[in-house]
Amino acid sequence: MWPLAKIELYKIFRRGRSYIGFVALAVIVAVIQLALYVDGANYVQFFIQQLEQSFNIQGKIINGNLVAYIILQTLVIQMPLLVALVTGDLLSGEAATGTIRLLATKPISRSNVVYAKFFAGSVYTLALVIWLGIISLLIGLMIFGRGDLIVLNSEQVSILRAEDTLWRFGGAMMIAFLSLTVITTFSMMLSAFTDNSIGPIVATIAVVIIFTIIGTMEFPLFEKTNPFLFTTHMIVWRSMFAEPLPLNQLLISVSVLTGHIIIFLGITLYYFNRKDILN
Amino acid sequence: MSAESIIRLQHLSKHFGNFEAVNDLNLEVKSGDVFGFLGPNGAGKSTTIRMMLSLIKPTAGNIFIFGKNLFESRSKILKRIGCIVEKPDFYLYLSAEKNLELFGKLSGIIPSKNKIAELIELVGLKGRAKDKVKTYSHGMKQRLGLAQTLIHDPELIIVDEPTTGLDPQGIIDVRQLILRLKNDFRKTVLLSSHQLNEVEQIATRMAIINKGKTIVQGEVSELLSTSDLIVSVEVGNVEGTKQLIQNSSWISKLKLTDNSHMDFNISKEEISALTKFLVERDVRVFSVHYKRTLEDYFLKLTNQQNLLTNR
Repeated sequence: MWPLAKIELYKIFRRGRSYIGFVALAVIVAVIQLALYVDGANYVQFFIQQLEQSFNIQGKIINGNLVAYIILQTLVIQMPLLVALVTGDLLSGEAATGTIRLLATKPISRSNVVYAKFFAGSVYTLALVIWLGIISLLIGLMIFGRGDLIVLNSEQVSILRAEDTLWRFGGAMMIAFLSLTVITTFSMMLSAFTDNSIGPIVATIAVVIIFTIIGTMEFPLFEKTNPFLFTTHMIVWRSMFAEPLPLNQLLISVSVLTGHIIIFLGITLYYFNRKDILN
Repeated sequence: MSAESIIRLQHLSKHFGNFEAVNDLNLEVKSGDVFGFLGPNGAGKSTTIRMMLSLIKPTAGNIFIFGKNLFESRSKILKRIGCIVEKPDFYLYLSAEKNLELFGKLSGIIPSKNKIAELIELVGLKGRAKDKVKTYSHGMKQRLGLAQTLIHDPELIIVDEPTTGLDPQGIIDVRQLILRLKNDFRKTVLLSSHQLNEVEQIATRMAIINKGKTIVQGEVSELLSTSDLIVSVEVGNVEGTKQLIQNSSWISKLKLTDNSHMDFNISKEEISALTKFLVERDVRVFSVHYKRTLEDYFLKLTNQQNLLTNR
């Protein structure tokens, strides 16, 4: 399967479309970093006004760690879109261009085609996450310097020492990768059902948006369904910045996300192996 | 000793809901054949070919290729087949040589640069090997498609309507390439087409299917007799020639006349006698050729079958 996976990787990284995500991330991050550089003090002041009534906050609040955290918060919706742009096309793109006929008439099993595409899609997703890490954290640290990270959420304020943040960012990136791999397998599953390139990409984005909206609605009905929606667990990376670390919650979310990956991949394998290639 | 059977289809059927695309089809292709797989559009040729290549699953029946059941030995069989299904498709954003390299690897081999260069030259694309396939014309893609079928040196080549959409020169080039596959490379070729004259020119054996069923199969030379041709003669003065014909025994063979052509139903041997008759009477003969279409052949077969039924 390794030669096939290498071919899939080669195909992904030879297409111009695959670099849209990298460029888009660079642009978004640069814009946020510029805005925070120019007007960051006012922006942060707005959030810590209440806090300053009870605490005396000293030192450099806007630093590379906070900037990277703000960027991660902002990109939580956009990243699935950028991933689906490539992975939603993995099988249906081959069907649309007719190359699926060539692939399926070669002496390789259809299961191996799916595994190779899943592998290549996951590597692409990991590359996007690493890229985000480099441009948000490394460049952020270079421009804004190091410092303690103040994390505000609805329940608590966490102040994390600068030397305590790197591993948390690493963990957050790992969870972000796992979350985005759910998007990879979900869009690939939709991609197996159709012969056009755009449908699975649009459908994936639509589902992410719908699930995210449902997840924010506090109706009793949705309270029962929300724990089963993958979007509910995609934001669990934030827990990596909580003190103490909510290990139980992290474990549940990682398990749910992994379960979704297995289910989506299983459906893809089942359907694609039985599919009549008619295009 | 009879040649080894390369493809054997037994009672093959494929239904899409209530539609019977292929219905109880039997077919045999022998080693060394250029096998013409004929039928009008929608006859079930592409569906049959797709079943042979495991792109779609049959509703019923068996497929044996190289003596093995396709569904038990899929990978082993596909390793020995090169194919173009419907139209040659490639990764348009890659060059021709990169496409060939990828498809070679997918077929289980790592093709050498020399091998790729040889194939590119064989199909007449030398000088364009490094160009992206998106810059290729349909004819060039068709030729690259044939190179792709050969990249892993398979024993059996399956090509589906290889001349569709090509200009006259492209059609000639592709036909010559297919003949080279048989003569120079000793490949067995299954070629689907809806043009009888195409199959007649390059195939050794053929089968005709219609509505998913085999109508006839056998040696091309036996099936396409030369005793019952439609011969079209292009003459200078149709009205004058028509009067000459009316006063001769050829009148019984004259079938159709238009502004410049006269069609006769005669044997191949009678062509020279007819031409001599016309030339000796100072008729200007511009061209003589016989035409045989799948439609004509179908009508003939149908008439024969009706006669047998009425007896």
